[in-house]
Amino acid sequence: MAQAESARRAARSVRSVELLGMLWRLLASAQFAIALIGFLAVAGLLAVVLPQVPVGIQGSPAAVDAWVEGQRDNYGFMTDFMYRVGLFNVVDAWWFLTALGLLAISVTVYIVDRFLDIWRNVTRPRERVPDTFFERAANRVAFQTPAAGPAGTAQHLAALLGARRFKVRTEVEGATTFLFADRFAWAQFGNFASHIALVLFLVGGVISQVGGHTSALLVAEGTTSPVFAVSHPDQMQIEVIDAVGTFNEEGTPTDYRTEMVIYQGGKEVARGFTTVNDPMSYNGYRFHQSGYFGEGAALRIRDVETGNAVYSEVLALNEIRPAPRVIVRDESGAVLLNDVIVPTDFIEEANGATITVPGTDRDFWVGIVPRADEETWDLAVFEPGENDASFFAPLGESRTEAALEWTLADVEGLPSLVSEGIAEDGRALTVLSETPDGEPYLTVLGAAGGQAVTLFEGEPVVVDRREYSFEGRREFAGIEVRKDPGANFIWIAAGLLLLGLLATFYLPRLRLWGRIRGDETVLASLAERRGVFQSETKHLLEAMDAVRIEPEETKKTAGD
Amino acid sequence: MSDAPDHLGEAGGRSRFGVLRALVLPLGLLAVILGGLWYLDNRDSGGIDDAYGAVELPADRNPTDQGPAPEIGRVGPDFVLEQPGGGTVRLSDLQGRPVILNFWASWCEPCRAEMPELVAAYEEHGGQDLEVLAVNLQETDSRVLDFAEEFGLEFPLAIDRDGELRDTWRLGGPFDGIPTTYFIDEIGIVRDSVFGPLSEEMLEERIALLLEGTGA
Repeated sequence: MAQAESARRAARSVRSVELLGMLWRLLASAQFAIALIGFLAVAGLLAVVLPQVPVGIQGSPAAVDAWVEGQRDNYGFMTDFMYRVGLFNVVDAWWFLTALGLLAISVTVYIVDRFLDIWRNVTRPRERVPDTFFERAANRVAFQTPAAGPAGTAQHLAALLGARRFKVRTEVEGATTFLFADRFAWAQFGNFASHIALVLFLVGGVISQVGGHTSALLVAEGTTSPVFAVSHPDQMQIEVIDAVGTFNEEGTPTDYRTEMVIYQGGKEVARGFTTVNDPMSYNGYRFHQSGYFGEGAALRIRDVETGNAVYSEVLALNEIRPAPRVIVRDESGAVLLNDVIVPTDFIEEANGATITVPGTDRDFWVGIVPRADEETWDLAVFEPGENDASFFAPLGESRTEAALEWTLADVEGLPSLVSEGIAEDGRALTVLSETPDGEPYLTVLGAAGGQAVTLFEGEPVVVDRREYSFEGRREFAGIEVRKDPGANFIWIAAGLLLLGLLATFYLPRLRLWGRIRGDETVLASLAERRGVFQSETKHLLEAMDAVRIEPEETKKTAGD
Repeated sequence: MSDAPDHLGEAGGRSRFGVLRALVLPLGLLAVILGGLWYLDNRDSGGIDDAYGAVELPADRNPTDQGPAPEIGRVGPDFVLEQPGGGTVRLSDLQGRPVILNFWASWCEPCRAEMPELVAAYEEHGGQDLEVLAVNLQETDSRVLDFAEEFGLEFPLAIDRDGELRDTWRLGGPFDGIPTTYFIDEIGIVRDSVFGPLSEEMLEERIALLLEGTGA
């Protein structure tokens, strides 16, 4: 019984070793790696062809659900299935990551599997080969031994090969002289360098994925923003001192530049500039200038009784509010008004405001109404209590009513924002505009009982015990914060790949065996590197002025 | 993988190391990678004094038979933090009256939005009846003091310089954000928490709950 049990254990052990051996051979096989690469290539194609969940919403399940819902129009009943199997997020899908991991393991196993053999082959090459090799080698050339005889020929060949950077050894055995020449043998490791580079690329990618960080921040001048959402051992705050965007005459941006300070642990740790091409760096993080937004406004509201701020924000006015530029002339043609009317009243689709035309003491509601095409506008003017001054005028045309000539010169888009917090209850509209002299002013609508408040910098306005202050225009810097701990792996990998490719394809590596016997000399090499073999032997034959023996003749000689 | 070794080399003996190589080398490689990752994650991030942050709660300040945790019915985790401009504050030293423990930052818009409500509540109840402790997350003294002056913060302020309280106090709850506010009674037990900005009504309701217990 004990013997049987022992035999069973031994059999189990053998099976385990066989299984491991099979697994090793599978992972070491080129076919398996090529299959994986093919699979990943197809997956990559799917990621390009199919819409992928945007990176920015991946942290929010609700946003992702809404996004997936939006795909239903295109993919119908397949949508849920495609999402579940990861077709909308290919690079994060378990099967993609598994294939990637298997490829890394496969390449690693391949390297390990071949390394010892290659090492031996480089350091302890086989210098003597049997006669059959000289007869059957895929690369071979035979020529008549020159007049110098076998010894002289061997010496001459060794000198010629040495001059061409071969390491040469000769050995005399009876009437035969054997020759072994090797050049750039170590270049065989180039193949390993390329494969190690592939593994490092994958490892670098994984490290970046696991230990990396990317966050996009939009930071207004004079404000700070954290790199992480709450707290973090590496938490830093970025303060933007000055955000600059320069544009050419066509309005195309030419450069973005930000002066910024980085704080960590309650201390200033770095100060400098970041531009699009020259990011600022600190503690392994790089701060790239990724964007610019020029339409911001700082608004502060104080409680008049306590003096405390109840609202203090820099508003990113990223909505566009259409506003008419209106020119009003009197009967003599003198311009009474040439200004953009900031809309504060909204009647159905009309945007406008009640204004007093300078020099007339007359109030008008002036606004714009979209036409049916929703691309062009009409000027709408209404004088309360005066029915005869209610009219429309198309863009660019003048209309004289109530002793005034009205022209809708242009419709401009004003930066604006609807937001909460400004009004004690509900939302408020904030619009940034400029006077004809270029002085910026802020119009806040809905802050105090629906009343519009117009604010100029340095001129606070008090409404209902609240003091409103426009503290000036502010620009925003788009900063992308990146930490990429895998970057060093990627650089090393790129270098190794280059070295590996150079060693493999550029260096004329060649190993030659020679046999000088009687009046026949044969040089041979392995099947690979045929081009290098042919070029080297051609050079040798020319240098020795040797007469080549054609293959048929060689066979005949060998048969004799 | 097409470049095979020279077949005439002194190859052989591959199987001798097969099992060893199959296990030891991949595992060794994995260990190197994991070690590298561990090193990257645990590098010294910069000279913050370990004396501050979470500390052990003295036994005589824990009226429950459970360990401290930021959960309703449990005594809140203790901490010692620096105050902007000098001094320190310890949470357990505030036992004896209810505490509103608020975590905030000047860059946090909802924090700015709720701060006037906290200021108003402190003006009404602060001092003898109720304490408010506002813990700033990892900002500079000057920024905290400027903010306090702008918004008129009269209550004690502290700074969690290394962000250690994020996990200790589970900031943001399920939302990973601030503000986060805990309502702690006079014996240090958490009575309620709010993840997100406080409205006047929310604040008054919870203050009433805290003061109910003290009879104030």
